[in-house]
Amino acid sequence: MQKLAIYSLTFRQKNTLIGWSFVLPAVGLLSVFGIGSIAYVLYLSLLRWNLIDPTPTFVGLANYNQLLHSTSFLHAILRTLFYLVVSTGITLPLSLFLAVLLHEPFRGVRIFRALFFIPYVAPTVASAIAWSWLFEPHHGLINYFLRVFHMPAQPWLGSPNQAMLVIILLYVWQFTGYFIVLFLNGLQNVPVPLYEAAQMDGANRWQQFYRVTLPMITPTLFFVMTMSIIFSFLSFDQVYVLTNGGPADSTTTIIYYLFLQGFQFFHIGIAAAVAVLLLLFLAVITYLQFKGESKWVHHQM
Amino acid sequence: MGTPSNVVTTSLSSVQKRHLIRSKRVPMRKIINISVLTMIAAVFFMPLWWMADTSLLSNQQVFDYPPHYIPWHPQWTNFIAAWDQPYFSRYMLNSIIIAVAIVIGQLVTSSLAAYAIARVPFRGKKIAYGLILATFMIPVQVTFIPMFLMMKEFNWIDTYQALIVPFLGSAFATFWLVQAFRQVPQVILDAAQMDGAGHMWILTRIVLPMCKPSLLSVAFLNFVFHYNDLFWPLITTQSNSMRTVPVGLTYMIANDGSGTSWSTLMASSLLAILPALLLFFIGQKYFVQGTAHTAIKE
Repeated sequence: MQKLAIYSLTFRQKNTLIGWSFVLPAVGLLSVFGIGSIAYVLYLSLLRWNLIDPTPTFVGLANYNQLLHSTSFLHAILRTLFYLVVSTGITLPLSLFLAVLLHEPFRGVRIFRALFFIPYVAPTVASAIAWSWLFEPHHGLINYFLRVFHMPAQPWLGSPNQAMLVIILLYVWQFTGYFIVLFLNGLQNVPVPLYEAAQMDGANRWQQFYRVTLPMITPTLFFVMTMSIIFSFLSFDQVYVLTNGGPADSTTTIIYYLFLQGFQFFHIGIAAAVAVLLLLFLAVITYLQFKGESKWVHHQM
Repeated sequence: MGTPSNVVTTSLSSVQKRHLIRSKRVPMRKIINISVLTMIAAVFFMPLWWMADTSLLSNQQVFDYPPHYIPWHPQWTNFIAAWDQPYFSRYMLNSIIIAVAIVIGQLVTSSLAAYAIARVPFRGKKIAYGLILATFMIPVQVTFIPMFLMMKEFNWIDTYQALIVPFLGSAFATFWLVQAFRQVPQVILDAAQMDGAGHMWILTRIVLPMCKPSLLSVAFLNFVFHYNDLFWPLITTQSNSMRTVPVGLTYMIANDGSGTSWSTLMASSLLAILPALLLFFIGQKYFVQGTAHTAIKE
């Protein structure tokens, strides 16, 4: 021990050298493409620029001003909020329900888990193509079922009222399996004696779920909710493949709006401002999550 | 759920006993559970099955009424037609190349960083980890405009570099591996260090093998993410020979009516799903566990 103390200074220097050289590739890349990008996007959001002009014009906060006074942008925000509330509102209870059913072991449980997880693994584009075929107005399977039950066929992706519904259903289908896995992990951490105690007290199955399971998995619940909100907020592929934002802008979400402004119209400044607002919103959500987590987390271990 | 031991049961009141007896009627409850699950699973399976079914129907059968639920005369040639579409195999190759390159790069950079953060006491560690964590919450979509301009600046548009280099560092993977590496018992590392092992030796011979499930699950999730990504390849590729599967598929739908039939489209989509699906089934055990584990332990 005495010897170590003498060498500790050189040890520490050596460790510092090693530590930084190990960390450098990751930190370097993330600084350039992560933090550098954020700084760059903040700067770009203050410019008016269409990529072709050799010199961008500095316009200060004009882009933000324009966005906040643009009805198409405000509608995109409302649409996105609707989308994330409804899609999370369906996916969260559904995946929790399925996770509770899948929690108890039975023969073939892994097949079910895999089956629900496959949509998450499949490329969104491939799934979206399948969905556009399912919801095809003339020959699609969904309208065929409707006709079988003597209901009128629907235009689905061709209708401003229904297109968003199809996108939401695709989201539910894709993410339920992922959230089931997260919930299953949360359920595993609920101590079995709690259920036994509840059973002794005569709690029925619903009471056990409501009084034991639900309070014990609040951290997972909160985490899944945040993830779902972020995932739906950033859904791009679904919109791009299924509707291209239409019909009549009815599925233009914020991220799609950003894509149109930035990479279709080359309004770089506007698109950058959208990105900054998006980041702000996500920062608020993340902050709320961390604040919420400290309130909810049960430290059992 | 464990059943209470006999010792406990004997000391119970009759009311409590009745509850326990009732709770032992597991089979009936299980039957209901499994039937409900089967019904919901059938709904979830329907789009996949319909995709597979359509991919095996002939171009005429696709539009038949009533629809063919089962492809009695499977047209395997649809898959050949899908594969033979111009550039389709190139799209697949590109997607696999970039996803594999990104995953390998990320594993190298993140295991190095994670090892230092989890196991090496060094000055400035908090700053380094802080920088990594700060990027953890940045969604890539927000950075696409500046990153696109950087790629233009580097003259990397329509090259593999643009598709790969920006993603070689991963805060997600680093964070994930830090959690995993911290669980390796310190005693083992101390013993190795006593024997004169260097950090690189410890990392590659002890820590990495011990953390194989975590490595595999982060590799799998990031492979799926980058193999499936549409947005970034869509804006950084221009020529057919650089496009990836998701981008290529969107072009095939756009061309619908001019040759590509629904059965070919479904066959192409199935082929596109295949690589990720194969990986998933090979390592299912690791992925499902790993996915849950580290995601929650934030």
